[in-house]
Amino acid sequence: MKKGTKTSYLLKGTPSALLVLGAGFVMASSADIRAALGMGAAVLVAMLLSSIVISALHKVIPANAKLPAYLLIITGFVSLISMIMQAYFPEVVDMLGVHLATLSVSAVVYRDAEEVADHNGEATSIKTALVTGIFFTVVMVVCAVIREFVGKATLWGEPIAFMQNYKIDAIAGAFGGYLVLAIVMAVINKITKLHHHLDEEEEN
Amino acid sequence: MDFKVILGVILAGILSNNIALLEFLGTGAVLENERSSKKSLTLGLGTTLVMVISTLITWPLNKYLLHEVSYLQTMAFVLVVLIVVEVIHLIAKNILDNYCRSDFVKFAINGAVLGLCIHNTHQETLVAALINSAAIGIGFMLTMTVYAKLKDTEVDEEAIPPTFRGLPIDLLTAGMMVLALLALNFKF
Repeated sequence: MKKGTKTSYLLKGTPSALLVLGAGFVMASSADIRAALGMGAAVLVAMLLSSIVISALHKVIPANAKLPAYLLIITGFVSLISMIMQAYFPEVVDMLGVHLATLSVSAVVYRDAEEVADHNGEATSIKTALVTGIFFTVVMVVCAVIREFVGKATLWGEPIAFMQNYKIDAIAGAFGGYLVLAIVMAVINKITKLHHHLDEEEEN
Repeated sequence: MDFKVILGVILAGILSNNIALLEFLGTGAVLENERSSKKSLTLGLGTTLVMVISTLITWPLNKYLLHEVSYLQTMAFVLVVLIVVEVIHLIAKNILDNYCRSDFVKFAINGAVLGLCIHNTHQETLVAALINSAAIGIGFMLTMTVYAKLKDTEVDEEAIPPTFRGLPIDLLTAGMMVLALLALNFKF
């Protein structure tokens, strides 16, 4: 039962409605596992750092200046992460391309800052950022494993011999991004509904 | 620039370089959009204007000022986009608020605009960058309008499996649009 509660918490505690806002970078970085992990780490760290700073400063930032101030704080952290990744993982930055920079204006990170960090203390902000970041990373990695395995017949860039004659190129392309994310989301819906159902049964 | 080249760039912006569907930039903004097709068209037009004006500022800024401090590129571009969006919102506040509610500022600051500004730094001339921006903007606007029209269409909810209702079916609809674009491009 404890295991079920943890899974349920992760999925309930993560606003899955946010996935629609981050669908772009999830699909863009899920063609390769390394890119997915790189983007996942970038999202997690950017959300975590910006949440800490924004929750500490939200009382001193005037209401009218919140949008530019929050965007510039997020952009600063994204630029920093981008430079660190460029230094240590240049091939991942090449794979992600312009999507890493556009994380600065991502509605996922901004909404987290605006709705959670702006109204709560550091502890709640850190917890929400961690849960949301980990959720995004897991979704991206799951999508990437499916797309790389079926679409490219590789895993972590290494060719898989028995899949070479069965790979479907379209899965690694743009259409595959939508198809695989739709299936993964349907599975998430199924799991969350199952847990809601179990919780309701327990209450009754 | 030759008329045929301009026409080619505009067609590419709508079809093969469709920024929202094929490049995954601003996809969230399109998928999240719950407005009618008319409001989406107005919002798309505003976003196209933001793209063109932002490029008008960011291209020379990158060429003459930022080439030696490239690490400041994202920060500078975000600031420019922010200012452009706020100025357009101030000038056309009545129109935008009536047609697109008051969330134009949050909507227009999206990955498509910033990504396009960064892409355009590779264009050789400012004119080429501006034409590319207008073409990509028209493509973004059409995608938003067509997608809004598709979402407006009444469907039998019971025919969709419960787990696929919501985001999954929205993603599959967008995937079908991608297939149509790829078929037009003879890529698929």
